[in-house]
Amino acid sequence: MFNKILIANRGEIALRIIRACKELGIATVAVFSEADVDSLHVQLADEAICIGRPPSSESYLKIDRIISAAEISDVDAIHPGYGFLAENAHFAEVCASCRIKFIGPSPDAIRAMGDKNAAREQARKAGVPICPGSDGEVATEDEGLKIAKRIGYPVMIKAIAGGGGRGMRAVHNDGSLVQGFHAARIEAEKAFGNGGVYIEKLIECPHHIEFQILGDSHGRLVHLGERDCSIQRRNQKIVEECPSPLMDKNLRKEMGDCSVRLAESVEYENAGTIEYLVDKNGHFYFMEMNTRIQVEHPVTEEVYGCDLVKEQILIASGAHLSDHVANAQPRSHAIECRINAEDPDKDFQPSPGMIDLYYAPGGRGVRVDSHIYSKYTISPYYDSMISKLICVGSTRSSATRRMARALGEYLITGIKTTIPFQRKIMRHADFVRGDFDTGFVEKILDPKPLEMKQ
Amino acid sequence: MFKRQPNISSYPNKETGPLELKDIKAIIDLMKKNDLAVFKLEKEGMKIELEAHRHPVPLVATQPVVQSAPAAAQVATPSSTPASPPVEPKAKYKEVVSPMVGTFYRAPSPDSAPYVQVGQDITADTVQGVIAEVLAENGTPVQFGQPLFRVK
Repeated sequence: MFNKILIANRGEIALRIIRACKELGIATVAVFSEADVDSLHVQLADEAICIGRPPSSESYLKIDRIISAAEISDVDAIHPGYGFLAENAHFAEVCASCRIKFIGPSPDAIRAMGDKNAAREQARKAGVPICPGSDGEVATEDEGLKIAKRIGYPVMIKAIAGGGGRGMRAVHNDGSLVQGFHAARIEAEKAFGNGGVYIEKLIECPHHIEFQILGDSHGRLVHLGERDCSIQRRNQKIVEECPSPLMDKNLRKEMGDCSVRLAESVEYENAGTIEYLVDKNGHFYFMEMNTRIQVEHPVTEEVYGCDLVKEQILIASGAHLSDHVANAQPRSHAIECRINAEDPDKDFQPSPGMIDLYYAPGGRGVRVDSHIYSKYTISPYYDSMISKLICVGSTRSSATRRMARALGEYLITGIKTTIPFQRKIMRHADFVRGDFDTGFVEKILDPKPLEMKQ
Repeated sequence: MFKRQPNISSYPNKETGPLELKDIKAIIDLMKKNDLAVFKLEKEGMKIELEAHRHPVPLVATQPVVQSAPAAAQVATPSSTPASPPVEPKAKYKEVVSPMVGTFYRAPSPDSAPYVQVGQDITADTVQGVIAEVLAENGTPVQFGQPLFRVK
């Protein structure tokens, strides 16, 4: 077992890892930037080392400084958390070359699943469904028509150099394909200087569903069910839950088997997540794999009764997967709300500044993972997530009601937060019924497009 | 891949705020010149408060104090409040701080003479003067921003 671990992260996840270490009897070293002097992870770690100026490019992303900090504090392992260097294969290699255990998968596994095209190919080889589409660029409309016929309408025409919705067209038949093909090319040429487009099947009203994977270094690999992360705003998850209201036993088994097979094909070790889009008919398509612990891991922990961060540390130290984890069964319903320092009334613009009063909710079935406190100043340099509120209930409806109750108790003054917006979601009839998809947030923010829908 | 990576460019900071960094530096210089402890300015859409700290504030029990070199202070604008650690004004002394994390060695080997001694004249791009004090112990770990020398 490790004697001392360095946490190469900040905020709530740094705190989460320190808590796991304390319970395992492992000493902790925090690293911090000049902006995080007063942060809770700095106060609660056994040692803390300043590694640079506030921008993360000058601190939390500086590999040499973090490795120096690890050497002067003489740690056995580094936990990267999520974001920053968590999915950086080079960082994992540097750790290994310095004889420091990187708590996560091997650099090879990070590389194999980190590149989107390589991961898609890996999934295809492992027999995991991928979103049908063209192999690379579609040069002519004839070729486009052929592909659309093969994969079936509706399809999406997307710019190869694309992003931000430009050069993108959803088409429903041959006529609109020909029209959309040329329009998308012209738009892509104008926006990116590259008119290349490709075609992918359009998955209508999808759910974003991901499977939690856990594998040890002795070849034992299991999945711990799914999380439904369909409540997103601009591709950023806001609410996550386990289990998914869309899921039944058969689909869970089928998707779980696929996930285990894909992870095994790259000899995956430690915690990871495989993301899918699932349509309303239960057809699922592989999107990507995240080779790290996820922000939303607590909902899985609550439902499956395990501690994923502790398990990560144990696995990295060479231990076998714990039996209670390998045989865990879902036995309740958990929802997580991400609380961000943003103003929901002003297009969710960041709202940094000093927290005046902080009072966290409590009571049965309520968990708060957060690094903030009264008079703590939220820095404008980092991500705006300041807290994760997790509520558990024996059923989905009791978990939803508990979340609405806990959000009502949560008091953060001095800055704007997304708590009022989260309360709105918990009270929304469609959410309460479990009837939603990835378009839910846009729909409740601006109900007009729904009425105009053809 | 890096979904949770902070997007710094999208956040306002003091360099891009209504008041430019060079203006703040000029105010700090004026404060020092006239030995002012507090400076406040409020106008439409902007508020600035500068406070000079006479004593460094200890941060973490197990680690030495971090200070950054130039006198900076709390700057508040409507949309941003960068948190910079309080800084001691150096009327007489200038501190040379560690630019990296690592082990501080005063000499190239245990038998050699130190690179610099107290009382020695030094000339570099950024500092000029006489070494008044060596603040870090030879062979000990230092963190980013930790004071190493005091120069007169």
